Amino acid sequence: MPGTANATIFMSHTPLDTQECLCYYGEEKEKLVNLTLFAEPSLPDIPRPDNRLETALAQLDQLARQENSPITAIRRIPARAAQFATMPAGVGPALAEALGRRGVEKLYSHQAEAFEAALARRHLVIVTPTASGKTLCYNLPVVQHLIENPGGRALYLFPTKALAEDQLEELQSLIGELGSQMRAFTYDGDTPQDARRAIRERANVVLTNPDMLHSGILPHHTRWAKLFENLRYVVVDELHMYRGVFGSHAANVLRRLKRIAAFYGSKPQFLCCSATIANPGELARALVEEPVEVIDRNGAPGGEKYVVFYNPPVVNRQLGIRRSYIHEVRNIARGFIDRGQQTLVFANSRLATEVLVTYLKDACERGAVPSTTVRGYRGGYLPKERREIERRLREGAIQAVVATNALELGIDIGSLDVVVMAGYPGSIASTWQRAGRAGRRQSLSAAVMVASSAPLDQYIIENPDYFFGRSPEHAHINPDNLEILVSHLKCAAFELPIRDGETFGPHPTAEHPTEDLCKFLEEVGVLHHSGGAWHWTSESYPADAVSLRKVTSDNFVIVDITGEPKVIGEVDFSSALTTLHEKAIYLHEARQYHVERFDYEERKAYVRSVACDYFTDAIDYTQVKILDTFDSLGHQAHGEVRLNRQIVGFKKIKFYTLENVGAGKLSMPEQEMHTTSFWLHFPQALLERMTEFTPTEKQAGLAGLGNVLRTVASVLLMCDARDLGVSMSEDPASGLALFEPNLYLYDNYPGGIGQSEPLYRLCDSMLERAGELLRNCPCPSGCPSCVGPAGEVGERGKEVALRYLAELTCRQT
Amino acid sequence: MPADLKAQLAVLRRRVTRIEHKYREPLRPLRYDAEQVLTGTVCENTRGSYFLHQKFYPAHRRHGSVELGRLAELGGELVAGISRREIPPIEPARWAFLDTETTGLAGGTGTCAFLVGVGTIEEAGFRVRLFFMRDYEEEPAMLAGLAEFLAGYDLVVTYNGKAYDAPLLETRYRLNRQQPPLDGKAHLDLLFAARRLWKLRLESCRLVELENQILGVEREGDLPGEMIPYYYFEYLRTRQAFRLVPLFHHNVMDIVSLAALTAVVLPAYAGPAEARQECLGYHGEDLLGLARWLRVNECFEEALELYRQAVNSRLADQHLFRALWETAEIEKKLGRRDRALAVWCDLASGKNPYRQAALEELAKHYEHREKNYSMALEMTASALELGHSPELERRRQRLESKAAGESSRLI
Repeated sequence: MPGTANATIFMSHTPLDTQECLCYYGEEKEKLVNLTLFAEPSLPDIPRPDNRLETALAQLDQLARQENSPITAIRRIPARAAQFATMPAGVGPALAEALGRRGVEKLYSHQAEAFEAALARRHLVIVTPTASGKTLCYNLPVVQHLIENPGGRALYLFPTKALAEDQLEELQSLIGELGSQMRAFTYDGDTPQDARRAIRERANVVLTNPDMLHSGILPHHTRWAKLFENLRYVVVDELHMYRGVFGSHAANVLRRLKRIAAFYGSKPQFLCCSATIANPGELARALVEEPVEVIDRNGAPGGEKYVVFYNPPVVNRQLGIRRSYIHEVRNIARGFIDRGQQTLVFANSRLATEVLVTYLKDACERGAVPSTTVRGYRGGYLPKERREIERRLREGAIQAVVATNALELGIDIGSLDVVVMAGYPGSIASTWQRAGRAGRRQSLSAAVMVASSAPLDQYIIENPDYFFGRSPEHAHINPDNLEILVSHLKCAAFELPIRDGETFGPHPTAEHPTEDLCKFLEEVGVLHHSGGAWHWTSESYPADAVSLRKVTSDNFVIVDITGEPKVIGEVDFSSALTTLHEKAIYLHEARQYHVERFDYEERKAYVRSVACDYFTDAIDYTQVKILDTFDSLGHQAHGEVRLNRQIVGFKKIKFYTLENVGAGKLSMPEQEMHTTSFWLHFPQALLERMTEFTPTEKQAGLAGLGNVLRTVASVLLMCDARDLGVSMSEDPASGLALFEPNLYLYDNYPGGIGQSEPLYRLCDSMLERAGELLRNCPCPSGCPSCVGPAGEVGERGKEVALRYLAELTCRQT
Repeated sequence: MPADLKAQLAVLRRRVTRIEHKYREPLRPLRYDAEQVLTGTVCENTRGSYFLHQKFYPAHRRHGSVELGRLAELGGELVAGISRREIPPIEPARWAFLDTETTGLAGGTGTCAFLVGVGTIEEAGFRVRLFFMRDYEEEPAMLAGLAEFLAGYDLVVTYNGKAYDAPLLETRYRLNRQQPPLDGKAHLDLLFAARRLWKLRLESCRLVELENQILGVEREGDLPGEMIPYYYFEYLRTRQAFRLVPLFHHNVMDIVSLAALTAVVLPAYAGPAEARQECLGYHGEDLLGLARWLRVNECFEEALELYRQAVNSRLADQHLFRALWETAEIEKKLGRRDRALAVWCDLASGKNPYRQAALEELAKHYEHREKNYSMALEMTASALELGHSPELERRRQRLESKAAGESSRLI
């Protein structure tokens, strides 16, 4: 899609002056802000009220032409006509009729292409943007197969439970239209025990997630004999989510799945769907380890769309402070809402979501739109509530939704006019995915991104060409990571003895890798060789010891005790500590709740509804401690570390003015993670040699070096950058007088996933490549592509980082 | 990518040894095998070989309070009675008592039954056969041997087998692509019946507990259940067959106890009334457990008799009151209102958990049968003193207006 975005271009780099007259606003001044955006005098000839999106865009265009406009870019993506294909011959009359009753007379070209490829028994990955009818690409071959083979089976994998629910409805409506006896069910942690047996026996299509497949289905495959005996298709939707550690685990789960299927005599065909990423084919091949055909010629129509970059004006030139992006998002969103356009606002955190819901409801209260049509949507809401919001969005009963990335995935919410992003979503792929939420139908739509003052946001918003010119990110996995591989080999042996000569994820270097690994596991005492196979000889259930994701599934339940106690939501473990601590103001559907009691043991928080004019923000603190040094040489070392993260306090922040109106200390349970880490040590002598820099510059430069090393390391290790954590510490032995920091690159995964030892071995090459990256980067003093933006690592960040590298490499050689 | 898998494994090894301080015996070459230490035979079939150990108990042998010869005298009707006809009458000679020893309790396809004990009733006594795999490669042959043997029997008796042994065996057979022998065979899981009988009196209804409390057997030097997988794994690693002796003993004891317990439970449930006392002794709680089962199965007169016996024995208060209340309920159901009334009166006159409910029953009786509204009102008021309930409140209001109407009519 970025390739097509090259029509009209308006761009202006905003120097950080002017607009000072707009200075700082309290609530009462918001009208003035509206004036600047939708400046009424600028288009006097248009009769009002004019609620067309065209008008709003024309006004934005006007604004963009002004000098020092907050709008840094407006790009038009032209409308795209639908590419239809005739109904493939393989679509039987029953299915074609059912589609006809649903208004589908012809297929889009990619749907037909996917159907033909599926029928030709090829594994495939379909890469098309949001709302292009991807679901039908896999539902058609699956349903057609089930019409012809009533005993057939298919397995659908979704990264989240909510998506499985959503797609179940979609599939069931198609089955309902067919009047068929096919049965489709979701199977996950929420499935009642008494329903499970029936699902195992009778479901033609089982919709689940990789975690459930890993710990609930594969280790009990004899109960699922019918599924595996007849397994024809495995659908992997939202493929782009399977990257990094999660993807590497998922690839091993699929290895196990194929192994079990083969035991029952089936060889399923994989149908994958992905959002736009740079390497969907590569990712799909790495995940399913089969040749995969890529289908990326999108035949779905697209309406004309504008993508607008908006940078909040500077209010304090000396300090470089910009107006709050949250306020700006409220004003922009309200402009669209008042015009009757259905608007989706994306925020990057739970807190921002709730604050924006509050603001928008307040704003609507004074406007023409009832505030009940503004809703929040995020992970913490109960499934029932979310289903209701999705439905009402589709029906058009809700005017605006403020959501986290929970709505970024393919949940069906129908067509929306406008998407407003509060802050840069963090990646190019994710930005396009969110922008794609607007303009499902063929009419005009708009996506506005409002930058926060975070360095990355500022870089993107001020360099629109960087964004529009680059392809979305690559997704990498490394299924052969030894620790991940070994943990899944255990699970595989538990499921079915490993026959001699059988390979499990061939390791590139060893001749009989599985045998070597099995021998190793025999020494550890969990495998035993007998009768030409390796058998599981341990009482434990290995799948329980392996979590596919970093987060535990331990959720906190929120109990409202204002009246009769009732559960109003759930929050996952890590966010619970920051949002549900005692004395916190928990925001839910724009209502404020005071947390009365936080029961850590029982995983419950008791809250009471209150009315106050502030919210709370937790303060956390992370510390790294070296437990055991495995090896060290010169400046480099690797070993075992303990990471301690603790919520030490919170701030009370007033709505609208965002004043800090108080704070509190907290003694929350510390979260501890043992993991492995690679680190570089910077002794006093080295730092002293760098006389040309101030201590502050040295420290900021070190952070910059950490950013480069993380990028380079993730390339070297073929892992996702998020799987590596970066942290700096002072050497505890040196005391305060000496500044002898360590720079840690740790496995962001409990127990470590074995990235540190290779980093230690590859250190020279990593430092060399880091130098290359810095020297080749055209920026003068640091950008998000190298050390990080200058705002974060100092004006001389890049220079300092290069100097550190010179010191480190000359010392080593 | 890392160049050398061996080097990486060496690192992993180092880490594992650091973590695992546990002393582990070095691997030893195959030194002994089962048949040299344990009596038994190596059996061959088309799928290979396995080890079969047998133990015979002559009919006069006692296992605690039960003479094993009694087993052969149990009637085939008993299994039909206790299962409420889900199982047809089957003669004892066709019963197989089954218990497995497994490599863990986790369930799933990685848990294996390495030893399966089967006890059968013969004319001369009781025989236990242990089907054992000396290594994993013998599993297919062992399963086939077991299936072939079980084919000669019509009923399988287990303890918690429906939830544990049967599904586990089914998984093992499916994994080895063999037909599960328990499919479609009658299966009596004694756990449910035993729990009904003894849960009021005993804290735990585990088999070893019942063996001790009910049969009076003291196992000596028995292997705790959680150690069983460990012993087997150690045997696999070291090949020292003496490690199997306690495993075999444990399984044989489980089978014999299961059989002896069956000789107690079956007649208690389904035997003639006079045999019950003999089987159960004089524990009121046990009688009560059985009485309740009879009541659920609508054998009211028999149930009442057991309730009466239970009440006459030394029952703990909470059981006594509940027994009385349930007796009254049966009497009411049978239309013997006078008998029920007598019990309610008893329950209404003293402090007990059923007092309020008894008062309410009395109130109903006075209101609807005797039309004595003032008495009914008095009962209702007394009941309300014990605690509020909307239903009682409504009753009081209704009764007050009825009583008022009556008195006005009288005037």
